[in-house]
Amino acid sequence: MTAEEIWKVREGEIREPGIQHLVITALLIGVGTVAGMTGVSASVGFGVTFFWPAIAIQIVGGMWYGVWGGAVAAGTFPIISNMVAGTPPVGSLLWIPPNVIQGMAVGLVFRKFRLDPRLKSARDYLVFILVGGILASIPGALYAPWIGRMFGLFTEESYRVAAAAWLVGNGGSAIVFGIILLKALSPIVVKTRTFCKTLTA
Amino acid sequence: MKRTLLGYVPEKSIVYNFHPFTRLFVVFLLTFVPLLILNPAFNGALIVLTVIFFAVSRIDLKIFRYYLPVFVLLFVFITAIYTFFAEEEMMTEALLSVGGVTLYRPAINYALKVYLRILGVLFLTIYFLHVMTESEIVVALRSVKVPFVISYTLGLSLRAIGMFLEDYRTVREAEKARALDISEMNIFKKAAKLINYIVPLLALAIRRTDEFSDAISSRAFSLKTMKNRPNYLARKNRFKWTDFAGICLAVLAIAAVFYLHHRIP
Amino acid sequence: MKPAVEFKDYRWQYEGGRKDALRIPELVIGERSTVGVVGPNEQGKTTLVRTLNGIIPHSHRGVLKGEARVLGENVAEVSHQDLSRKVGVVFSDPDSQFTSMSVEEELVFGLENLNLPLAEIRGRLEWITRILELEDFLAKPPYELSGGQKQKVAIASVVVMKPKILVLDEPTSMLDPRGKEEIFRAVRRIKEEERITLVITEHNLEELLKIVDRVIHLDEGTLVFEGAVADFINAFDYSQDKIYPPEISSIFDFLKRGKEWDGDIPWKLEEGLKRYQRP
Repeated sequence: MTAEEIWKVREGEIREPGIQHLVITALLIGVGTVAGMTGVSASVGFGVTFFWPAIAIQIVGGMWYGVWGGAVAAGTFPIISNMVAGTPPVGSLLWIPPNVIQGMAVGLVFRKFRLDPRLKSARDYLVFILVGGILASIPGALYAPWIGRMFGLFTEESYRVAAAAWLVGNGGSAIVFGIILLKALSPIVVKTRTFCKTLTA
Repeated sequence: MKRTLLGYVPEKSIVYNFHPFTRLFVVFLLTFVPLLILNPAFNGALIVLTVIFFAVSRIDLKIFRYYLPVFVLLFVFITAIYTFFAEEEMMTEALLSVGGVTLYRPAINYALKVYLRILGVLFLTIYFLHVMTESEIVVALRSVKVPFVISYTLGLSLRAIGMFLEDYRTVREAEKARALDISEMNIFKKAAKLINYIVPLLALAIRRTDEFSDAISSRAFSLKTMKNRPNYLARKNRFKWTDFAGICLAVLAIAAVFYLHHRIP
Repeated sequence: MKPAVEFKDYRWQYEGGRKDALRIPELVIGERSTVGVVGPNEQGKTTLVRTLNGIIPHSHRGVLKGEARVLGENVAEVSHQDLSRKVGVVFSDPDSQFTSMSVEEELVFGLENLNLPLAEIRGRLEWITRILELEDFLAKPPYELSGGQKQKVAIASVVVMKPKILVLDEPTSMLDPRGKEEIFRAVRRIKEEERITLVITEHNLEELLKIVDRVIHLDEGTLVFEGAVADFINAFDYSQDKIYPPEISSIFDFLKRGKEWDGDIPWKLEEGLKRYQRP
């Protein structure tokens, strides 16, 4: 199966959202929450987390399952895992925009340019690192200290350091964990009926 | 004891006098106090009120021991921020100076206010997670007519969290049996090891998708026929006078807090 | 007897598959009969189950040839939702079937999907709770029950919808002996209470053959036998090692090969002991 074949909707092929997409959304919320609660996430309140491995679940969610994994699950599970870390849902709602960007960006680019989610070529790796690891993390890195400042968690002086730390910590885990997950599971996922060639099915 | 999201509530507790929606609503409303108010008097009072909630709900206060490391980590983090990155206007009155690092009274005062605010939120959230079950969250949402697809997916997600936590524990136990205990590792080693858990958990999720989808659709579930769906469990959870009283009291309390906050300089 | 299920020149191949996952030239399952489907793993049993309630072809991608009719309707033409109201399926792993947080919610989930009036839902809930003895579990989370109890709840959550055909896909494969016993007792109870068509795929022939009237044998995705239990057990190739016949049948086959026995081979222990008398 080539990268082109992975994404291309064949003539006559009907792709519609189904129950399986609701189910994978729920299951990704489950895995994402557990990954976000595993004891190494450095949460400092109001959803600000400097090392958050669950970011990889958002990224592969968007890559494999379009809006179900990259927007719905990626936007929801941080609310639950943040709650466990003590952030009320109202506070976590503020995090939906950067979470959705993190989840959707690289999946959108891979679909648009027909890149291989199994990361077969140097181009696949390069785009994944650039978009999934760095570009998609920038909004969160700028946003996190801003949210933190809103609640007094950060000061004006600490803004740059906090943004840099966020970018390195989360962007780094997005790259490392994301690559491992894509290499390990993409070959299986692309053959399943839940895999989304388009953004919704 | 009845198992809740993060703990247990005794079989006889005042908690059960309130509809799940009331519990959800009151906690939701009260979290606006620390979110919008920095005044330590209000946030301190909120913390005391939450501890009273814990006590009257007959939840063992020893559970706070588990959260102690979080409380300490937050304190250290916030104090460090206001020590090393304090804003200029806060660096007016030196409190003490150690090894070239000066602590300023206004900065530390502010840090303590922020800490109290975050503690207020933490206490409320911990209380919420200790008095609600997954099922009650779904009941609460359905009682206010949240579309079934949304409440059902959320319910399924909460179920999935429990399931994957169980899987996670199984993998950890298996590793412990082979003399590998990550709880004894430093944070960097833990982080590196984490992928060993995430890959199998995600693989399980992928495999279970088909099984769950088949099971759900085999019981006549359809995305297209969710309108006017009967709600059998609503019969068991009816709103009582205690709910109206609880909600009214919470609204009045919040209104009073914001009024006082506005009036007090 | 009216047919509940009819297959004619039926073939199904999953997308990406190299060969047919299921090939049934001709098969009729009569209404209200109890049929056991036997065969090794990955040899078409689950594909047959998925076809019976329309998951195939509606939710899986692949190529379908021929025809499968369930309760008179072509599965390829009737919607999966319509079919799932008439054909209830219980899968092997109960944990992957529970989507609710309490047994009671799990039991009413399908009834709410059917848009039944609340009084009817209550009546059916009381009925299934009584016949499968689930009173003590209603408030419990299903995943906190024992294996046998879990599967019983999974079966109850489907039976409560009163399907015309009930399909149990290896319902005891993940259970300990006590759990298996519990499930077969529950199935016998359902068979007595509800006169429905029952299709059970199972590895445990020992127990299965005690409750079914007919047997369907699948091997490498192909229907190799369909007939009464007595015919199945007498025509069975005891030298193969893909599926294991009841112990008592193996013993009688051994005796038969040694010219110690020349009658029919029994499949129930009690029956075997009664038949066999030492000279």
